[in-house]
Amino acid sequence: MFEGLHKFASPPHFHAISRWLSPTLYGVSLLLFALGLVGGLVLAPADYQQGDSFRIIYIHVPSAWLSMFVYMVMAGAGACGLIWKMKMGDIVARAAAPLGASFTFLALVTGSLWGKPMWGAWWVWDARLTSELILLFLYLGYIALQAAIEDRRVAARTGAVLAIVGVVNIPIIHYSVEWWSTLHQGPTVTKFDQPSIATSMLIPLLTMTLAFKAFFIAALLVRTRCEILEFEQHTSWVRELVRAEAAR
Amino acid sequence: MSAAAHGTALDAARAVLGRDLSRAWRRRAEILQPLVFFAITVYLFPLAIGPAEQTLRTLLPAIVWVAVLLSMTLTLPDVFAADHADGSLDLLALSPQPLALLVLTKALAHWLVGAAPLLVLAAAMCAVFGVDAYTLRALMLGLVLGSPVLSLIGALGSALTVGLRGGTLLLALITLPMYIPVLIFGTSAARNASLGLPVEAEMYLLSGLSVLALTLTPWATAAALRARLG
Amino acid sequence: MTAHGPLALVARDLLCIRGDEPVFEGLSFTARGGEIWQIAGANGAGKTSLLRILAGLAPAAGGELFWRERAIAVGAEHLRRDLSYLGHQPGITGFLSARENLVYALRLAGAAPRLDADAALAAVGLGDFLAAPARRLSAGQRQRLALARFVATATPLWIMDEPLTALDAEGRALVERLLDAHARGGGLALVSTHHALAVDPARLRRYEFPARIAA
Repeated sequence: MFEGLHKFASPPHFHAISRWLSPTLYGVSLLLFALGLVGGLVLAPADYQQGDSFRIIYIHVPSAWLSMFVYMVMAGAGACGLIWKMKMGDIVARAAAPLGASFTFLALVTGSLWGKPMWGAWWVWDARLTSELILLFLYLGYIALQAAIEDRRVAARTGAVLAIVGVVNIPIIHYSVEWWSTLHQGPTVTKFDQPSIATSMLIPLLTMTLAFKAFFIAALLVRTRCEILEFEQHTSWVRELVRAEAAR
Repeated sequence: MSAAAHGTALDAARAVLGRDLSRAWRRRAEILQPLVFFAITVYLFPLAIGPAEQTLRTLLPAIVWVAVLLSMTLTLPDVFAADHADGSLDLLALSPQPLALLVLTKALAHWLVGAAPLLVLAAAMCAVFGVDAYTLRALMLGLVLGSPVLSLIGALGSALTVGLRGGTLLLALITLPMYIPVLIFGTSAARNASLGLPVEAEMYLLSGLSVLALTLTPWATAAALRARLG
Repeated sequence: MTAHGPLALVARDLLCIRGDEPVFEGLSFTARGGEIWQIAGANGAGKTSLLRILAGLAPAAGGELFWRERAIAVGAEHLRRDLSYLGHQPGITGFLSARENLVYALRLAGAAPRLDADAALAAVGLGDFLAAPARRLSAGQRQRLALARFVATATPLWIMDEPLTALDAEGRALVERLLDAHARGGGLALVSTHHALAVDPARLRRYEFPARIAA
């Protein structure tokens, strides 16, 4: 199995697969987006308390989930690069960071939009929003470090260390922020964790989550493919590829 | 140094510690700078908030924590930057002794030079400002347990950014978010103490963070240095 | 722990990339104990990059590298034990005295010393500057101070990046004497310089980098 993974992880092989996989996934995600949005914005009933404003969860919740998930992907890929010397690992981690930061930013903005009618302010020191903000800082630190290092190979390796350290830190930060928020405000009734959710609301939510995930993987494949070509621009397989493309 | 110990990992670590401490001692005027920065930062808050004694006394532990955090961040580039510039970082990385142990020693040197004097000054200032004894004890114990984490994570940040232009700002951007748990538990202990509540939970958590940082960050710092030197 | 296998550094098809430009590719050689390898080439040809890869400080972008028949990854322990390295920056710390600098480097290197620090410093001509802070030494004296590490320890593999920089004629002769003695003793040295090296010609191997072709 490990050998199979190594084969998949070899840059030419990855490039060849991602070439047909990413358009397919884009298609899947588009379809799921259409289904999820119709289900969430049209078919699902309005919330008995919040009316239509709850519908922002169809964007907010998937992006919040993905914001964490992408960091895990980054750290996992970084670990593959650092520990098992899989070149693809570093490249994937590097490609994932801006996507993760975007999802985090989206989760923050939608969270703030959702909170405005409820709290009367764009920002309150809710534990989840605060954790999400710190996560955004972690992403920005990673991206800034990548930008500061000129050599993309050194940058990728250094970034892998930071991503792994970050992933150890995330649960600790999360826990400490929970601690902090209960200490200072008492347990707040937050609308982020719905104890129960009607099936007619849940199905579009899951559909949207899948749509986001498919979009993420498709975008990650495209970004990774670009990075691979830049990393490997001097290898014979890339040169041949360029020649073949030019001939077509 | 004893001749028998020569060639052991411990002897190399002692050499690193001795060298960093004597560097600090020979440039002792520079040790004062973060102390003065710390004092100024703490004094800025009353000037910004206004001279309401009671408010200030409640806020002081939090102010002290933030000021310690910032002052320690300022001295972090010292951990590796000078060694990188003169090439001795290559020697460190090429030593046959475990690099994780050597960078742990450098973090220890940073704590002794960059944190210990700060803690003494912080205790003195809190006493002068009339913080009660129980709160002061909780604050200081929290700082003693939490500040090693700051040095250890800081050494990691210093390794990640060594030799980069604009390194200090980048280093702060990377390390400050990771300081948040220590800040939360440390200030929470001081707040509880000022209300006369027990502070054991926070102290256990801070000790836990210290142990975790002590066991994990040296490996990460060593890996970061190897990545940066490549 | 000692590494086994004959003293030989083997490179196969090394590739080095800086930024996005290949610095060199397809570089292969076998360097054995008793040889002095002179790495020559124009500025920017990749001499420093090659030596950092050989020292296990930087990874090669492709190819394989073996020391004593065992593969070298970055930070390989069996290589670190056998290596003395003089980098582009000599690794001299300004606020320490000459003696403190050397003692620190020797304790860090951990190898059993062949000579004590003072004797080694006298051997490189710094006998009168033991206690002087290194920042007051001239560039040539600092280079000598760095060379004292090679006098004081008995590691089988020497990698020196431009050791003749800033040295006067007598200093260059010192480096050549050191290299000859090291090779006679069975050690291997890789030295980058574009000066002619007056060492035993039977032991000298020259590796000339091809001129870099602008893309």
